[in-house]
Amino acid sequence: MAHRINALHTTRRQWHATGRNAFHDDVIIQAQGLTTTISAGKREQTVLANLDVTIRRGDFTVIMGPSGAGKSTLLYALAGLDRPSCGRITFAGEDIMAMRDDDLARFRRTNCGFVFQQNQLLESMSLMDNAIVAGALTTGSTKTIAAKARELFSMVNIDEATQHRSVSQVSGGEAQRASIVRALINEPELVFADELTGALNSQNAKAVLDIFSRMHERGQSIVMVTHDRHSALRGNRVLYLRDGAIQGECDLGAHDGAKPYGEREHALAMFLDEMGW
Amino acid sequence: MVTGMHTLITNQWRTSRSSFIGIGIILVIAACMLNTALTLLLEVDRQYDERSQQLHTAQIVAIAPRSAATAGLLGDLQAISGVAQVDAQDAVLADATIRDFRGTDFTIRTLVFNADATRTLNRFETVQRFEATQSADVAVNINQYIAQFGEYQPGDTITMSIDGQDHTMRVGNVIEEMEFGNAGSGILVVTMPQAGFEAFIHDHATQQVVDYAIAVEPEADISTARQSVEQAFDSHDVRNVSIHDADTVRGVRTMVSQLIVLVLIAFAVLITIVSLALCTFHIANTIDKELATMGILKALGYTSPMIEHAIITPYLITCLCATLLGSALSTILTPVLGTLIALQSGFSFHAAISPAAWIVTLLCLSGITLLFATLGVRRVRSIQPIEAVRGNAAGRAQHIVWPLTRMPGNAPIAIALQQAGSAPARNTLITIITASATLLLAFCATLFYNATTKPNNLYNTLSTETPQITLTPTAGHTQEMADAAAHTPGIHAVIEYTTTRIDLDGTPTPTFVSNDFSAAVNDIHYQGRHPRTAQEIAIGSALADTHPIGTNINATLDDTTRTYTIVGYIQSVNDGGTACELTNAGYTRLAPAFADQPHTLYIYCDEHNTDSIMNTLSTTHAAHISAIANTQTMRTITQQMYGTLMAAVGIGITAIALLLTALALMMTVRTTLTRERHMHGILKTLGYSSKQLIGRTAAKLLPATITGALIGTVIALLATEADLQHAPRTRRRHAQPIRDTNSGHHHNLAILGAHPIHAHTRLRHTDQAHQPTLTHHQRLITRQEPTPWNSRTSSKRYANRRDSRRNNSPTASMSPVKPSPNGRTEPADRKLKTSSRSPTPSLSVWTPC
Repeated sequence: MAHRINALHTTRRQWHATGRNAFHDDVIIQAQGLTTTISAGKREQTVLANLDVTIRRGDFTVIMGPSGAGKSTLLYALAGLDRPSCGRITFAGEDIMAMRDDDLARFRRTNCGFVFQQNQLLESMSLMDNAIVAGALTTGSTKTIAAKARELFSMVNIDEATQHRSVSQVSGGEAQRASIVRALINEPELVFADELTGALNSQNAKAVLDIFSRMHERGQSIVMVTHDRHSALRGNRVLYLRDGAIQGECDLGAHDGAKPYGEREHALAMFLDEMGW
Repeated sequence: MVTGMHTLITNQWRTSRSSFIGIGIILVIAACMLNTALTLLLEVDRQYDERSQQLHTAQIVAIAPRSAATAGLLGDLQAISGVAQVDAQDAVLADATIRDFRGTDFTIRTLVFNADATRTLNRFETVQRFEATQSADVAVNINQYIAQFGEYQPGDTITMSIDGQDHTMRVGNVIEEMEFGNAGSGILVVTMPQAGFEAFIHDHATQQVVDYAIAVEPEADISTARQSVEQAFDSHDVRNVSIHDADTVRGVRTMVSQLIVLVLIAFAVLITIVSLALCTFHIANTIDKELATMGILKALGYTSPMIEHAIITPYLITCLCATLLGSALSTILTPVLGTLIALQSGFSFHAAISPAAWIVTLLCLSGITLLFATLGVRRVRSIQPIEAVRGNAAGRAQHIVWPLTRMPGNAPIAIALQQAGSAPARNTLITIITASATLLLAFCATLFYNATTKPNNLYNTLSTETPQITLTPTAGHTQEMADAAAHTPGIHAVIEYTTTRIDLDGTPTPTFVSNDFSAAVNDIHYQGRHPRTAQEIAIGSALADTHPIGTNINATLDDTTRTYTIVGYIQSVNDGGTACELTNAGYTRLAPAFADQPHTLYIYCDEHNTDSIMNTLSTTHAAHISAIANTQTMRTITQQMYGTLMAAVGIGITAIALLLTALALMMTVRTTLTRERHMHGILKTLGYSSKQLIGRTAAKLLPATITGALIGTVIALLATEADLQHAPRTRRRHAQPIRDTNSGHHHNLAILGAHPIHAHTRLRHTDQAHQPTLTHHQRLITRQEPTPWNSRTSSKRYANRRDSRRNNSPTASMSPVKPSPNGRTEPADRKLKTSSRSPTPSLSVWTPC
């Protein structure tokens, strides 16, 4: 049962030039009765237990919880990368549980962007080529994709020379930023991030989180799994997952909103204490 | 540690089981072929030697006229240094035409012995016995070759015509003899019981000979002994002697087995190369895939040799099991080939398991696999534990191909091209596989086409000039018969064509004599041209390297030597390139009597009209026909036999090639997919569908596949082009010229020519619809028959539809052929000594390879 803590008032945010509705009333994902069980030998283990969740457009939703709570399982289920044992997921008005694998793949092209803990770039290619491979799914012209990619690389502070280096020749932070470019190249409805900063040092982690914050300010909807408080503070909505179910929800308000940073941190801390973190 | 190693090996097998099975199947095929080849290689010679020893086969045989066989000659032969024993046997040597030999007349030089005579050398052994105790007919014991090829059983009736006299006899026993064996030497042996033999001698007294079987001591040199034998005959002024040696006979008889061995070894090597390439590729991928695992193992304390052994062991076990299985399967294949070899060679060959072949096969395949696997796993030594865990092998640089922004085409094409070039090792492997497959398929397609779709091509390659009908006119009626035949409806062309034998630079050489080789249908010249004048000669490929066109060469017949100018080169598969062509006038310079002899006429008509035209000629011109033979039937039989064999070989090799290609490509693709599984997962996450990934993978492999196919095609075309120089052409009315070449002709593979493809690449110049179909190959045997000649010679070509280019030479007119006191025997061996100048162009011999 969700236990909503509305410690902060909801801030109406002004959208930028994306033209999207500024309010959070649009629902991108509606999941009901999600249940995932896995077989471990003769035993069956329940990872998600009849879970309901809603992801709204424009939100930076953070999913937190202890290890083994089912955070990544939930994330991948919502993204269409994994199929729960039962339940229903409606994503942008489409029932993705009813889709076949290839239909899901086509759906993901324009609706989902992914950033993983271990960047998961194609190592035999350069950073630019990784972006082009993703962009080729929606755009035929290499030049068009490359131009778009350069813009995004610029946004994430990767210079021209670094763009043409291979994955093994760049730092972890640069690779993770490149994976963000790849995630955004097709202008997805929703960006999914799993432990975004888990493999980064603090400097790189801040740089990446700053990028996500800027994305959110520009209207990008984001769902992020993390166990790091600092990372969680970048979101405006925190869901706490434990034992396969959402135990609570915290509305932190906008990251760059009226509330001072300290208040948001305090609110989060109280929420997490209450959740038993 | 042992448990750990066992676990590693088991894990290796479990994770790559399908790949090991694939490699194993390929090695099974390779082992089967290699074992079969080695078994034949070891067993044919061994059994041949064994059989020769059992039957006390002499190393040298000399056949001389009975009149020349004196006690002094025998004594001189026995006194030759190195000669251990001489066994002289009376015999009759004659050109015998076996009637209704599988539907046609089969003419061959036949040596008839007394079955009841005591023999110390060249003994016979009965392989099929005639059980009846009484028979009113004269019995003849035939050799295995006649029995098997002519489908005779003991008790059947056989009719042999000699000198126009038919001898209808009951087949007694089927015997095996090692003196000649098959028709490759131009002589077959039969025996008759004492009574029958005596009567036979009485009927053919002039053809009586003595067969001197000469055993050479083990430490003596056979060629030296042979020269001494020749000198002994010379010293007794015996000129009509035919000398053979066992090595030459052996070479002719085992030709097919050697060819089969060669083909099998070649394919086994090719298949082994493919399997080794796959093995190496698979090992490399395994190392890449298991890099982290190997790093962890090293971190735990496993040494590089231990890891290498764990990787190599499953391959070695697979190879050993596959080799044993393949060798076991070869015990099925070998007897099948053994039957063919026995039929062709005329001796009792029984395919047996050869332990040596098994051992060699096992050692070769296992050793090579071990070597390549060892080379492939050496990379393990350079793996550093921590870098392997991180996924970066030491010293291994990222292979980055061209950036997508610089690739041509749109994004999907650019990605496909980039990915196609990203794995050089895989591309090389696929190129090798497809190139090999293309070569094999090209070979098989060419073989199949030339053996079944256009069977005349194969046949013409193996033979020389072969008409539908051969007609020997009576003396003085050559021109008359030629004119009559030329004007007979259904006959396309009539030419004079004679086969004889002369000495070229001391080498007895089959000689084709005609006045107009341009009318011959099976054009065997490959460089220069045919002779046109009396001073010109075309020589065989065996002499081509040492006798350039434009130079002179001496030809000798009896005591007459003449010089001729070489104007071209001809091919002769049956004679190993040892042949020549002379015009009628050219040959007359050596044998003036030839001008007055009746010349055999080669008559060309449609295949299905052969019988009716023969009947017409025989009925209308019976008085002027000495002999007439339907050679189309034998041609058809031979075509069917070789066509079936070649078709089976072609289909078999095609099936194997396709199977291996499919297997190898499947393994390569699987390995590639396994290696790129992580990448495919990422791409699917991004939104690539399965269909797109499949198409992407196929596109990645396409350039290498196309490249391999092109390379294979180019090599096949180049090999075909090169051999077209040496391939005899079937002439059309407007035949195309052949390119000149200075390349030599290899006459080792006498059956199919120098190269397998070569024998079947004559198509471009063949127009079956316009040319008369050809009958089986005939080689006319020179026979010394002194007859009164007229001074006129006949050198005419008779064509039904063209202006005859008649010269003013008088036609020949001669009485029927009679034997002479100094009978001339068939020079079935290298050295021919004759005292007559008259080849009798009436009888023909078909010598299947």
